[in-house]
Amino acid sequence: MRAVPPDEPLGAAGPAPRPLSGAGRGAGPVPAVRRLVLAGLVAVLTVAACSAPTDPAQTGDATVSATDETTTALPDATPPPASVPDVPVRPATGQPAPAAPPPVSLAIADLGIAMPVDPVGVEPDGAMSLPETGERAGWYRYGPAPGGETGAVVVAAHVDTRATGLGEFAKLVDIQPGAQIVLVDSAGTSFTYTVSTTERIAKADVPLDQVFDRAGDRRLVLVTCGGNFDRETGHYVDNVIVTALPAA
Amino acid sequence: MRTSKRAAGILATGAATAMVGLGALAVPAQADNHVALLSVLHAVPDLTVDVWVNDELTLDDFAPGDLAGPLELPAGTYSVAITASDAVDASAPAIGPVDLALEAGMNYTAAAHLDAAGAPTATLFTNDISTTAPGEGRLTVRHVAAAPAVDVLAGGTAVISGLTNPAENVLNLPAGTVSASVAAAGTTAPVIGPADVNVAEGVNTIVYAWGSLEAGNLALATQTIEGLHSSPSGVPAGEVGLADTSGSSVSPLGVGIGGAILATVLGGALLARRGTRETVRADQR
Repeated sequence: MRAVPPDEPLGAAGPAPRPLSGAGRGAGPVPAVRRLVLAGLVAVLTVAACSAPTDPAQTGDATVSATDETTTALPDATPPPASVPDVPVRPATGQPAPAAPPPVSLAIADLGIAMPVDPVGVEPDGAMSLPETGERAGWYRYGPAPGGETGAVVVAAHVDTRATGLGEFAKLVDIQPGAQIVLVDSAGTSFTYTVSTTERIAKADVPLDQVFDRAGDRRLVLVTCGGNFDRETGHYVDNVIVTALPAA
Repeated sequence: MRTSKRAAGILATGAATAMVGLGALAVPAQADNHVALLSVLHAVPDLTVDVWVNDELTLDDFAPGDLAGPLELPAGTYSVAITASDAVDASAPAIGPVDLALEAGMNYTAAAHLDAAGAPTATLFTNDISTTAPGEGRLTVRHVAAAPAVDVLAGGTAVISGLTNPAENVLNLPAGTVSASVAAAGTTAPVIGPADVNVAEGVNTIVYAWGSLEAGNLALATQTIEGLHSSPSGVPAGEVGLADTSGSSVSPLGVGIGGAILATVLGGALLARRGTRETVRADQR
């Protein structure tokens, strides 16, 4: 544990603190400060939905009036004596919103798959954890749940294990686009997805940030192993990745 | 009110975000490369204030224990003054005015709080928004209370020792709930807590110990910065080779040890090309 000093005390660096009387500061008109709350929220929602860097155009209302002589390097677009938009304020309780319920079962009728789903995390080496038998699937519990608003619900299972041989996901290589996949969460809600793509990708080339994306469109990603089995490493060379989109 | 030399603090403007109610929508932790993100914490007990930025009223009737922002601000220097809540302008600040120099791409929290001796002051903290390891969260503890050095205990054991106002300590931990309490340095009798702190995966959970020991109003305030997660390093999802596609004769009969041996023989003989990538799309059917 190291004790980290905070940033330099304010006023200790850079411009010296102003006289406490605030001499020279005029009493300008008090702007209306509440009217832009809604605009701000809309901008935030838009940003989150797109998972993209904030478009300056969306936050045009959010720029500070920065005509003070101490301000530097501001965009020309900053309106001169613009009023300061409103700021959302909330109690500093910091508790995240309740997460959506975890999935508890997975069914793929076309392949005769019906298996329980357990929440899983990561191994000490950073790899995704999986149930020890291929008869159960693991849901990546740090990512989206089926009831979430965005991103990929990742469900993976061993294609085979020493304990029980071939797993249910050994059948995944045969899945066809258009097949239906049903997840049921712990609240009993069913979520149906339609397979859009199936891929077999060398593990070294798997776009993990896409597989585990939390911010993009809602989708289900099933992952297992496939391709050749590398005797020397004890691992398959490829991942089989099935992407399915929420059924209309 | 006495004004600290280190005074400063607060400010705000902008389209910020209301974390409450947005559910799974993460607030971008990392600002656009030309703006800074700034939150403002009010941690001075019993004092409702107004906050002025560049002489504009920005936070009206800002109450103790409240958190404002984060605000996206173009990089630059902002003059901030804190006044009584009935002030008509920023000409008679209780704290400040001070200049906050905000750099693009950074994430800050300006906290108005008490110093160790109980005088109002303010500190600009830089929030750690570096990526967290998969499965981990980040716990930042900041001492902004009128109190001597403290230890932070998790499950009764000191995990942070001798933290002084206004220092911070940053820990990267496996995601989970920590039962945390704050005690005078070198002791274990809690002056705050124990309280459950959710160190969520991919989130910097920033806990402030604030208030006044003497006044008996020590408390915790919490801020979270989401979206710092990283992906697992891979999905190793096979152990035996029974599904090896290099040998078509490997069949479902290969279950268990016998199958493993068979697969070993076949796989060893047929270890073949790598890097294959096959994609089937719905529109190719």
